Amino acid sequence: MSDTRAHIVILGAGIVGSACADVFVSDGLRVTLIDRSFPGSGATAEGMGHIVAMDGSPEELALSSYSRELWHSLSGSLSSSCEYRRFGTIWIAANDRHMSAVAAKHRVYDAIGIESHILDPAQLYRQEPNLRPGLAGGLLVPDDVVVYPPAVARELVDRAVARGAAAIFGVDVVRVDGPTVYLADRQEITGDVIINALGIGAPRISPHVPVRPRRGHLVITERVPAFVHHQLVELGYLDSAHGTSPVSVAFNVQPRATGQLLIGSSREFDVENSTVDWEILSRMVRLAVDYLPNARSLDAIRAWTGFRPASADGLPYIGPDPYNENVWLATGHEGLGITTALGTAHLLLDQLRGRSTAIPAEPYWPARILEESRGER
Amino acid sequence: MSNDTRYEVVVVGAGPGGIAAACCAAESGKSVAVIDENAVAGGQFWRGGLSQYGTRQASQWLKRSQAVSIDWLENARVVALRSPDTLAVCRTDSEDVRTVRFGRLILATGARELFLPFPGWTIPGVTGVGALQALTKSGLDIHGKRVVIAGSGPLLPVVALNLKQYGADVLLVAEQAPEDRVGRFAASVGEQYSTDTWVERVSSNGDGELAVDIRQSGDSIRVQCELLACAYGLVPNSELASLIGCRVRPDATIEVDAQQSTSSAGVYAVGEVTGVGGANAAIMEGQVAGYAASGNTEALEPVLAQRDRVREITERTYAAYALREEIFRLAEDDTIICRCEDVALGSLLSFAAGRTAKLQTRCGMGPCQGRICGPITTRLFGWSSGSVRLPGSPVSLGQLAALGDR
Repeated sequence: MSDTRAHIVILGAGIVGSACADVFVSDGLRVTLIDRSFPGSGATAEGMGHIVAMDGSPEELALSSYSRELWHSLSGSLSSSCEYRRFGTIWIAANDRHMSAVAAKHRVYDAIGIESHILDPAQLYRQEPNLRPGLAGGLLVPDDVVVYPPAVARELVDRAVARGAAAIFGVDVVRVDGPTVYLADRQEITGDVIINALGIGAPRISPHVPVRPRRGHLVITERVPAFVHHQLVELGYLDSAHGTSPVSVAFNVQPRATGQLLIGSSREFDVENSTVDWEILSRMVRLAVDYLPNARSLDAIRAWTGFRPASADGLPYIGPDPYNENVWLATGHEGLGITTALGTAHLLLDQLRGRSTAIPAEPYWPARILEESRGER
Repeated sequence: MSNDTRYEVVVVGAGPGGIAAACCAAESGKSVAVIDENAVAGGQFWRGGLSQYGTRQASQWLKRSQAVSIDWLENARVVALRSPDTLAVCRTDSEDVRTVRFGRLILATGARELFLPFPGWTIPGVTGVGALQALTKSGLDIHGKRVVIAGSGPLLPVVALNLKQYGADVLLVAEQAPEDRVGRFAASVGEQYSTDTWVERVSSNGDGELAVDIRQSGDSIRVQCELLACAYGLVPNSELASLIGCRVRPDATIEVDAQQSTSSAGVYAVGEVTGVGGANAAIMEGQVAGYAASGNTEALEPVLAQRDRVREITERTYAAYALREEIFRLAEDDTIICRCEDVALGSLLSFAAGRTAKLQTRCGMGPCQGRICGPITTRLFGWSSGSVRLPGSPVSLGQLAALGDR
C-alpha cells in the first residue's frame, strides 16, 4: 500500500480485530474499528486464552509459533489486568503409544526452534503432583502462555485509540458495498481497505466465506491456587481439535492467574443454541477428574458455552477476499484466535504494505478455499 | 447416580410457602416431594423446624404436614434441570447426587438479604440482619454484646427483640424510612428504634470495637459497638427459575399469574420469589399453588380471595420501606462492591453495561456468582443482572461429573 496514511476499516473488535487495530495504527495507518457490542465480548470472552504453539499442520505451527513470539515481545507492555502468565503447556501422555507421539512432537518443535522437554513419569509428577498415577509422561513446552482475553482485547483497543484510531462500538454493520460500510445507525464509512474480522459473523458481510460455528463448553472452579502449574492437555487433544467427528471431548485444564481452574474442552459442529449440554459437560468434567482425582471435591462455580469460528480446512482465512476487491478477511481462526491474533495482524499489515511477510502468507489466503468453491459453481 | 423417582408434585424450598404448597398437594392426593438445602424443614422463618415454634400457625402446619405423606429430601440442592421434567439434585452434606422427576414443579426458593454498600460494610463485625439472627439461633453467643441493627424493613424490630431475648445489648435500631410511614413498629422495640436513621460508614479500631457513623434526623452521631447488622430488605432467589426458563422481572421477582403459575408450563412459584411479602403471604400463595398444581379446583377457589387480601396488606406494608436516595450514594471510590473478586466502586464507574464491567473487572464472577453484588449494581447503576449460568449454586466437580452419568 503506497499511501502511508491509507484508511483501514476493521469490522469486529474481537481479539483479531483489536490486534489488527493496534498493529495497523502503530505502523501509521488510519484505522476505524467497528463492533456491535464492545471489545472482546464475543468468542474472545468465551474461550480459554491459551497462547500455544500448535502443531496440527506445518502451516498451523508456523502461524502459531510466529504469533506466540509476537505475544512474548508484547508482554512487557501489557497491564496486570491482562493476566499474562508464561505457565507453559504440558502435553500429557497416558500410555506408551502417546509417549512415542511425545517424541515425535518434540522433534517437530525442535526443528523450528521451539523449546520443549520430554518428561518421564517422575519428572511429570514433580511438575504436577495432582495428576493421577500411572501416566507415561509428557512434553513440557515452557513458553506457552495464558492470558485473560477480554482484558487483552480492550487493552489493544485502548492503545490503538490512544494513538488515533477511531472506534465505533455498540453499532452493528448492516452491509458493505464496494469500499463503503453501512452501519445500523445510518453512518456510512468509506475506507481504502475493509477487514472482515467478524469471527462466526463473517459470512453476514462476506456470504461466500465458509465459517461454521463450532460449539465448546467450559467450566470454571473456585480459587485453588497452585493446584496445577501448567496448562495440561492430553495428547489426544489434537485428534479432538482436528477431527471432524460431530462431538469430541478432550482433557484440557488451565490454571488462571486468579487461582481458578478453567476446564475444557469440547467441540461440536452444527449446534446453534448456547444451552449447556449435560452429557457433554459431564463427559468433559469426568475426563478432568479422571486425570486430576483431587479436583473431584473442588466447586464448579460456572459453566458456559461458546462458538469458535471454524474454517473449511482448519486454517484461518487471512488475506484478500477474491469476491470483493475492497475486503480482506481475518476470520476462521477456530480455537486459536487468541494465539494467532497478533500473527494475523502482522501478516495482513505486511501484505497491505507490499512488504515481505515473516512467514509465507499464501497458505492462509482465502483464495485456497474460495477459488475452489467458485470453480464448483 | 441413584434413583430418579417421579413425583406428581415437587416443591423446591421448605419455608412457609413450600410447606403449605406441599401439604395442599398431598391433601389433594398427589405424590409429593420437598427438596430443601437445610437439615430441617422450616426455611428462614421457621429456621430449625416448626416444632420449635409455639405459634398457632406453626403448630397448624406441623400437624397438617405430619397427617399426609410427603417425601422430605433434606440437605439437598437443586442445581439445574437435567431434562425438561427432571431436576439435577446434589446433597449438601455428601458427594451424592440424584435426579428427581416431576409432573408439576413449585418453586418456593425464598429470598436473601439486600446489602447496599457504605464505607466499611465488608469489615469483620458487620453482618446481615437475618444473618446475625441465624448465627445466633445456631449458637453464636451474643450475650452482653453491644449491637447496632440498621437498614430497613419489618425484620429489623423482629430481630432486635429476638437478639434482646438472647441477651444482646441492642443500642440502636436504625430504620431509614420516615416515621410517618413505619411509626407503629417503633412501639414493639422501644426507645432504641429510630426512624429517618441510617448508617453512613463504619470503621474498626482493631480490638473488636466498631465505630458506626450514623445520620439521624439530619444529625451525625457516632455509636461504638461490637456488632453491626445491616440489610435493606430482601432480594428474591430466582436463579433456579431463570435457569429453568421462567420469566423473571428486572427486580428479580418471578412473573406469576393468579394461580401462581409461571411463564413455564407446569412450573409454579410462591412466596418471596414472587415479590417480598412475608410468611403470611407465602403461606397463602403456597396453598394456591399446591391446589392449582393438583387440579383441586374446589379447594382452590376459596384460598384465591384470601391470598389476594393478604397480598394487598403486605404490599402496603412493604411499600412503606421504599429506600431513600441517600442510601445509594454512600459508597466511595474505594468501597468494595463485589466481595468475591474485591472490585471497588471506582473501577466500575467507567462502564456503561453490566456485562462489560463483569468481563473487564470480574465483578460478579466469583463464587457467589453476583448474588450479592448483582442486586447492588442493579440499584446503583441500573445494570441488568444478566443471564444466570449453570450450576444454579456451586457444586463439586465430582457431583457435576456424576450428574451426567446415566
